Amino acid sequence: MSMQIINASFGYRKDKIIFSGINLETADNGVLCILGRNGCGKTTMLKSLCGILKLNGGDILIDGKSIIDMERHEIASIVGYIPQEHNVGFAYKVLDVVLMGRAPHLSIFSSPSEQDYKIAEEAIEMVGISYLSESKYTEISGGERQLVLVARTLAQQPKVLLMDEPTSHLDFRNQTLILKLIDKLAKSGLSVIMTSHFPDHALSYSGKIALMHNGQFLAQGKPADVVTETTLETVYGIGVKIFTINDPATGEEFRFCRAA
Amino acid sequence: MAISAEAGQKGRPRNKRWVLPVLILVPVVVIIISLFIGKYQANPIDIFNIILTKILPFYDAEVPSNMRTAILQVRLPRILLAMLVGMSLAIGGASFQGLFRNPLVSSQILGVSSGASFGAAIAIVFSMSSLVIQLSAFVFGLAAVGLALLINRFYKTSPTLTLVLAGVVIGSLFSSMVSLITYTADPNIKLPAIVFWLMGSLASSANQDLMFALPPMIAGITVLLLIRWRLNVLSMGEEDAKALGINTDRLRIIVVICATMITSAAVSVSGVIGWIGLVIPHFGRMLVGPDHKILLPTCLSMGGTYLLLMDNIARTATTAEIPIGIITGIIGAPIFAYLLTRGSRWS
Repeated sequence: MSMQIINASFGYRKDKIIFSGINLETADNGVLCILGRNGCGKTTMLKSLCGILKLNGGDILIDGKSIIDMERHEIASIVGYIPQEHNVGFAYKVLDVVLMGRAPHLSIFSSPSEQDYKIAEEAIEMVGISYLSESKYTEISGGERQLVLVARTLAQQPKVLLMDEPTSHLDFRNQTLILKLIDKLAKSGLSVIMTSHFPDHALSYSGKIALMHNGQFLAQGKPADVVTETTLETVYGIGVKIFTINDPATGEEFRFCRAA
Repeated sequence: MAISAEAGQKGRPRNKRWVLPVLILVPVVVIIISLFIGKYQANPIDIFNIILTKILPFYDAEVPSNMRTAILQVRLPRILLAMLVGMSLAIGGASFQGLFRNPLVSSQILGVSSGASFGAAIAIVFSMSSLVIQLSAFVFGLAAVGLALLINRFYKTSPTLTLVLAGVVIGSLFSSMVSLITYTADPNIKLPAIVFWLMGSLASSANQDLMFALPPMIAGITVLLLIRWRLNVLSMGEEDAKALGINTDRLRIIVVICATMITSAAVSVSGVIGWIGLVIPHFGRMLVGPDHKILLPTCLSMGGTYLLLMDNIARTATTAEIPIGIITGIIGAPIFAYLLTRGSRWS
């Protein structure tokens, strides 16, 4: 599954351009991380990629087909989107929330079948939250809610997963859990495109990084090439130092950054 | 997987197996009981005979014809109309609450009842027949929501919120025009008729009302029942629903049109009856949870039964009939307040 962004631009108004001239291609399965400051246009970018927002210019191709020519349910059966914040009016059960992921596969007048329930339960199991499935979505923690949304998107059975700051409201443990899960999903054949404002996450988990700044991609490619002290200083506007250490047990190399 | 093996059938509403039989049984029982209640003193055995004669083709008992007329032409249509109006207002309210993601809205939010009230008031002022009054109420109810939708079209951002605001604007516009009409209406003949209509009543209901209200109600209710699972997805919010592949603009319009149609039809035959669209969905959610797949059928059953019970009180409590809109307010408000206090335990 490949996604191609060609010379894309978007603005809520003519005088307020969020991003422009964006080009990006994801051909391989794996994780692509869009890294950038708060408000640089990452979320808007993801929303355009799943068709929630319509581009003002340029195009997005999913396996060579323009998103403009696709019906909403067509897009949703290929591209899954996990929003960053989420508030729900009604106290649905977790299983019912995950079941909503089946919506793109059902016609307007039909309800989920036994098969759909099975798919939803499998998704819940895959994320490892079976113990939550009868709980109320409004009464679980932020981390659990994030996992429920991942399960819902898996029930959607997409080929591309868009995640908006998947770790933003989570504690250390839950951050690690979700990043491990993303890694697992990417290895199972899904393309994951996630956003982050935290360079360390991008450094440790992503296959590919696109560095976003002022509505443009400053650089994209392998983490080692893209995330350097110079580029981070440009993007974040502060001094940055990157350190490299080796895990004595495995000999694996890790890079992480600190504000200088 | 013990649960799934137990439920086993398509689209399982797990461990809610008692719901469907109860939802059907309770209204049927209440309808039959209601046939025995009324000012016209009829012998219960005669009423049994009338019912059985109607149901069983081979059964034919001797019953005085004026009694047969009273039961079949007066009491039965009123009972059925009360059921239908209650069902419509309840499912309309539940659908709007799902659409607007807010358990505090009801089907009056978009100005339906204000528009319908204006339509009825103006027809009463011009001394129209009851059919024209109903028709005018229906048309203006639809027109009010149509105007709200039209205003909404000019705004691109946050369509749901602007729709509510547009509804409030249109609603208050029509309310003011109703006030203007009542202010200028002839205080001896027209004014009481308008005020009585606004209070809501099923007193004058006849088979003709049933025939008038039935088609739009059945059509709207059927469509809402068909799309009820998607209301769950829509209630997650605009962006979420879009990301899940829902054509939100189309679905929202379908819900608004259906809920408006059934509410207008209800208001046009019964006047303004408050509280049903707000209280019943709440009560339903406490009993069966927020899943619209079960909630909407539950609201149909509970709304119909509730309004029928209220109407039984309205027509028998005192010698002069009390407008049902007053009963649902006086009884509905305390019940609602009581439910709210124990809501946390229920849900």
